[in-house]
Amino acid sequence: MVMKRRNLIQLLFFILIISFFIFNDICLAMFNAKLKGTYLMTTIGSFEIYNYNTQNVEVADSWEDTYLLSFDGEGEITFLENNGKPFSHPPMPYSLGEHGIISENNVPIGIVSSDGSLFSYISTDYGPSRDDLVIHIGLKTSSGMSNASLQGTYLMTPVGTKEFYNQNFDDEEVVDAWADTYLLSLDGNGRITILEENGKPASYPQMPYKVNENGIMTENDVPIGIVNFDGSLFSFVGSDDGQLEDDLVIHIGIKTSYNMSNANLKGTYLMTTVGYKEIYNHNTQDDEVVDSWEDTYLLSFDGEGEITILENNGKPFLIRQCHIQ
Amino acid sequence: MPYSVNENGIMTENGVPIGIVTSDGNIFSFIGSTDDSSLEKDLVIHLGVRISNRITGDINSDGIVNITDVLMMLKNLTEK
Repeated sequence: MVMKRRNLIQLLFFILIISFFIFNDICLAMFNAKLKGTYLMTTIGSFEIYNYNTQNVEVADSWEDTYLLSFDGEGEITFLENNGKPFSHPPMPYSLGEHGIISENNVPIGIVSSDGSLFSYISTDYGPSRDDLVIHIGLKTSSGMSNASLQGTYLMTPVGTKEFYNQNFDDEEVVDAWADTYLLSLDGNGRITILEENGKPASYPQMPYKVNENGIMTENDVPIGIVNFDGSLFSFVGSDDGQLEDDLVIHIGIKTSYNMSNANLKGTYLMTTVGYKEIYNHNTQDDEVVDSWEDTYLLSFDGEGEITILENNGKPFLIRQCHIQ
Repeated sequence: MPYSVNENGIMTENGVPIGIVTSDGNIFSFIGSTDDSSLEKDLVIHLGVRISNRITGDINSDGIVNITDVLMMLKNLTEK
């Protein structure tokens, strides 16, 4: 009798363990299924090096790209294009955790929106001689899109860097960084009017835009960004490639709405961040970018105007350690 | 830390727009441009996404897991 009971307990325990692993696999598969389909990803990155001449860390290069990616919903990414050209790269694995959080070595590096239409993540590659810091924003492609998909007033938040070719050193350096807000009016017919710059009236010539059938924004037929399925959000990169100077920028635009208030921001959010530090160099009498960084923050918005920072890069947040700028 | 969202979903700091929230409140983007001294300036962009449920529908707003979903899943498994 005792043996039978012991066998029964062992059997139940075995079933419980097996069920746990099966359920765990199902959960992981369901998490991965949130990312399925073709996405256009906009990326801006920079790398930092230690300059032995100045004995300082400096941002020596920056870049931006678009990638067309296919997520199979089961944990594999196929690269289709890079800046509109066929891109050959071995398929890469991906794994989404609970709540749509993207992690690397158990550290949150990004997140997927609840409907799977947007993801954002940061990547940091600490190499022996340089550190690469990149932020990626991906939006799912859709169908039946056109210039008319972007119509209304949007607030756009770009961040950019200026890369300069220094003829004295025969090398590139990042000499400027900026972050601004622009209030835009998009007419649904391919024309953008800039209404305000950082809250002040702006006067710029109208600019064109083009959205293709899949929601991809193009410039000279090269993909530069993407609009989400309902036209409420877009992201694009810009490169003003001059002979000596190159401006590299990533823009995120969100449509304005009505009857909004603090109550609309309520709950827990994962925030991806990229930043640059610019200083005035007295020796060269010019600005230079000496630092860049990226982070994830887990935030709680109370819906009444107060944010609590819960975690920074997966670790409990201590106010003395760092702060959000 | 304080935050402020205006009637159009625009996030402001001292009355100046610094970012925006989607109409459903699921996504926001804002910039930071601090000028702590005349020599240093930090320029930052933030993109925030609201955290979704563990598995669609299995956690209620109080964070309580609906065990029925779990049991149904296991039942379906055993039936296969």
